Formats: sequence, structure tokens, C-alpha cells
Amino acid sequence: MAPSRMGLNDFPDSLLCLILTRVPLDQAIRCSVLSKRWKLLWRFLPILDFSDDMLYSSARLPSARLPEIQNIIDGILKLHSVSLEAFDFHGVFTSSISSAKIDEWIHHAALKDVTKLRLQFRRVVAVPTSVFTCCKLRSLTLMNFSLENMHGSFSGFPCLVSLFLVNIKLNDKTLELMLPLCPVLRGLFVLDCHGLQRVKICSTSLLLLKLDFPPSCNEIKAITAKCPRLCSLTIQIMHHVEKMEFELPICSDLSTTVSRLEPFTALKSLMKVAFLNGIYEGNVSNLHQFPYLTQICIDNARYLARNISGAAPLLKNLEQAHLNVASLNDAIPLLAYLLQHAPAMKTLIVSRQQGFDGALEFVNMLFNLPRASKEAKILLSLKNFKGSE
Amino acid sequence: MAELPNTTMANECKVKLKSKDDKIFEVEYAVAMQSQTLKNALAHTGCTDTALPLHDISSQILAKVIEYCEYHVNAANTISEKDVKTWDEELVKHMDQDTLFRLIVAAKYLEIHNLVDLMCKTIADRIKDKSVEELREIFHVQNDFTPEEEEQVRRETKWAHGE
Repeated sequence: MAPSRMGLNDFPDSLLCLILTRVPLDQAIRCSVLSKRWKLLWRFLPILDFSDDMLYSSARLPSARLPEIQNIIDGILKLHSVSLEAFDFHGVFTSSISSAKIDEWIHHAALKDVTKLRLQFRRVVAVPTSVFTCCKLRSLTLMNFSLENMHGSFSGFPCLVSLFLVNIKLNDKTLELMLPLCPVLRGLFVLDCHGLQRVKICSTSLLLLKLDFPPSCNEIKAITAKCPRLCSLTIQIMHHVEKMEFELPICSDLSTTVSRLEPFTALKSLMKVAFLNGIYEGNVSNLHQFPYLTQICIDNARYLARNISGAAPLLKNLEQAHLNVASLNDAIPLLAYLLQHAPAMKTLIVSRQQGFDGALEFVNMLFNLPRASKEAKILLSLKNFKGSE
Repeated sequence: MAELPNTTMANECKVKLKSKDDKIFEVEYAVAMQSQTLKNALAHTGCTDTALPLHDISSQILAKVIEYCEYHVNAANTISEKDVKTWDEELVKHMDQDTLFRLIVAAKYLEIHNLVDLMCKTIADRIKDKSVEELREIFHVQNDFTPEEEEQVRRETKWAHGE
């Protein structure tokens, strides 16, 4: 029964730990002085977040004390309890710690069955080998590393569900070898990585794939993905890739900066498409190749066709279209096409990159365009237009 | 993320909850589903007219819990994340400590994960940057260390105290 006046002490240990994980680590440890019960509480924190803002909560830490951090973290890890859910290690201070020490700490976390690991060092180094010993990992985030070789005896991450590789120096072979070693991987995010030429993603468990290459990247020659369970694909790449092959039979969600349809024609289950960098002429009249398409979003619409063939089959399931255009002239041909070919259209959103006048004329023009289904009510939403309702 | 309930149950079922002080609250099925505890209980009993007793939760706190759940059920697809966050912040902004504490205990018991999260964050924000003495006073923690014991603990963690 709860007492008449509740204090922090009335909470069970698990709840206190939950609260302490949201407090900077040094303050959480400082609480050990509150009372006997609190003395050992911090040792059961399920999350150890060693990052600049969590390790030292205020700006009181002078840079002269950085070398002490190594001893401090050593002390913390030695006193900490048996199991560890998450170990987060990133920040300015990482540059003052030796690689061998970090390796030792990660190994320590591995022994504690750590399930979530996030590492980001100040300088780019090879991924510490101890990372590959954390066999209970469910989530791994690596930023700023080079991962060009897999450790010979690495037997895989049997529980890994999410893998984030950000700003990693990779190579084709490593990525290809890594995937079968993660048999239950559901989400793979490869962002701003370099060193890849022929990207090959084959996984029977993957549900979500995001490939976001930096604008400077121009070495990619081929991208192939063969994932029978994949539902959502995001591909962002600025340069033209010769060969793109996707065998993704149930993929329903696509978001891409590629402005052509051909690489994706095999994705027959697509329901929602977003072209983040516009779409080329001629491609619009091929949208009917996606029989289940219900929602389309075209951002940065600069390449919209002037003469879209009007004889193409209907887009039977298309209900929602969102166009982000630079000028009204860009929008009209596409809107005309959609209104004619999408009998199920319910919502039309047109937004402007920079505000401009002419909303009223635009709406008038729009409603005078021939429509496939005269009875259907279309919700028209104009965003970023000056003087619009 | 709640599973989609059976449509008939979702539309017709009203869940009755009884607070510690015997007050009955009636909520929509979808609102009750925000609580993992209630979800499990209802999976066993099905839709029933008997009120589920919540022995440790007062009517004042239960009302707040229901307010939170009702807002979040309605906000799910219609309100932007930013606005939801603002609403959450407003809810806890002027909450007195006693209510805050009782609310987190209730949320934990009912297993309403995002409410527990919100409460943890709010309490953590009130703990942050306070001195040990302030913490003891504000949160009614009795110091049961002897002066020597306390000194020893301070020494062991002296870096955390900014020395």
C-alpha cells in the first residue's frame, strides 16, 4: 500500500534504475551517497552510456581531466553488475583512450551479455575485434570505422535484429559475408559508407533496407538486392548506377532519389512510392506497372514530362498523390495525367518549394481538367502558396 | 503498437475500472488497450460488465492515467508528433511531486510504456543537477549512513562529485 507521502525511496529498485538511466552517468553514480539502499543501485543500471553529455553532465570538466576518464570508466565497469543491456560509447573523450583499453571494455560488455552496442570514435579506426565477441547483440550501431576485414573466427551475431553502419569504410566482400552471419536481421542501414562497388544484399530475414550513399560517392557500379521478406526499401544515390536489380517480391514501400522506374519494375507489390529527386519523362506513363500503387509522392519535381502519353492504362488503386514542385508549370502535365488516369484519387497535395502567388488561378485550372471519375471527391491541399486558404 | 482488436469487441466493449476509493471509470476498449496489464486481463475475461479493481490506484491518479491514454489513442494518427510532445510536457509541467510519483507507480503497474517513459524522463529532469543534500530533502530520502560510511562512499566515487 502506498504511504501518505511518497518519496523516491518507495519505488522498487527496477523503477529507480529506469529513472537513473535518464540521468547523466556521473550524477547517477553520485546518488550512491543518498542512503545505504542507493549505494549499490547504479551498479544495476541496464544501460551504460559513455558519451560526452552523459558522462559529464555540466561543462565543469576541464580538458585536463580527460586522461582520468580512462581510469574512471575502468572503475565503473569493474564495479558494475552482471548484466548489461546497452553500452554506448561515443564522444570527444574517446580520442584520449587507447584502442587496447576500449577493446577490453567492449569485451567486458560482451561478458555481460550486452544486447545493444553503439560505438562512435573521434578518429576512424578499425572496428575493435571484441565487437565480434558480443554474441548476444540485438542492435549494433557503428559510426566512423573501417570494416574491411572480418575476423577469421567470427561466427556471427545470431540475435542481431538491427544493424546501422554509418560512415564506414567497407568493401563488397565484407558486406556480403556479414549478412548470412546475421540470420535474424530485420533492419539494415548503410549510410554514408564508402569503398563499395558492387553492393549485394541477400537476406531471407530482412524487412527494411536503407542505402544512403554520400553525394561524393561515384564508385558504385551495381546494386543488387534479393530479399524475399523485404517490405521497405530506401535507396539514395546521386550518380547513375549501371546495374540495379531488385528481387523483392513483397516490397510495398519504396523511397528513392533515382528518377527512373526501370530498376524497380520487378517490385510488383509496391503500394507506396516516393521519388525524392523527381521522375523522368516517359516514366510516368509506366506507373501502371505497379498494380497496387495507392500513394505516390514526387519531390523536387523538376523533370516532369511535358507530353505524357494519354493512352496508358489506368492507375486503378491510386488514391493519394503528393507533388512538391518548383513552379506550377511543372505540376500541370502530371496532375492532368493523374486526374485522367486515377479514378480512385481522393487526396491531392501540391506543395511549393518557395511560396508564390497564383493559387486561385491554379485551382481553377485544376478543376477544369478532365477527370476519370466525375463523382469522386478530391481533397486538394495547397501548401506554401501565398494567400491560399 | 497495439494489435488490431476484433472489430465487434472494439466497437461495443466499454471497460470498467474501479479505483482504490471505489470510484468506477468507464473507458473505451482502445483506451484500455494502451495498458499491457489490462490487455492481458481482458484477454482472459473477455468483455465484461464487472469493473476491474485497481487496488493501489486512487481515483485522482486513475483519472490522470485515463486522460493520458485517451489523448494518445486519439492522437495516434491525427496529431503531429511535435504537438503530442507539447501536450505531454504540459501535462507534467506543474505536476506536484506526490502526483508525479503516484502516477509513475500506477503507469508501471498498468504497464503503459510510453507513460512510464514520460514519467521517468520528468523525474530524471528534476533529479538532474541537484546536490546530494537537495536530493535528500526534495525526495524524502533518509540518510542512514554513519558519517564514516558516507565519507567512504564519497571517496570511492569522488570523481563523480566533481572533486
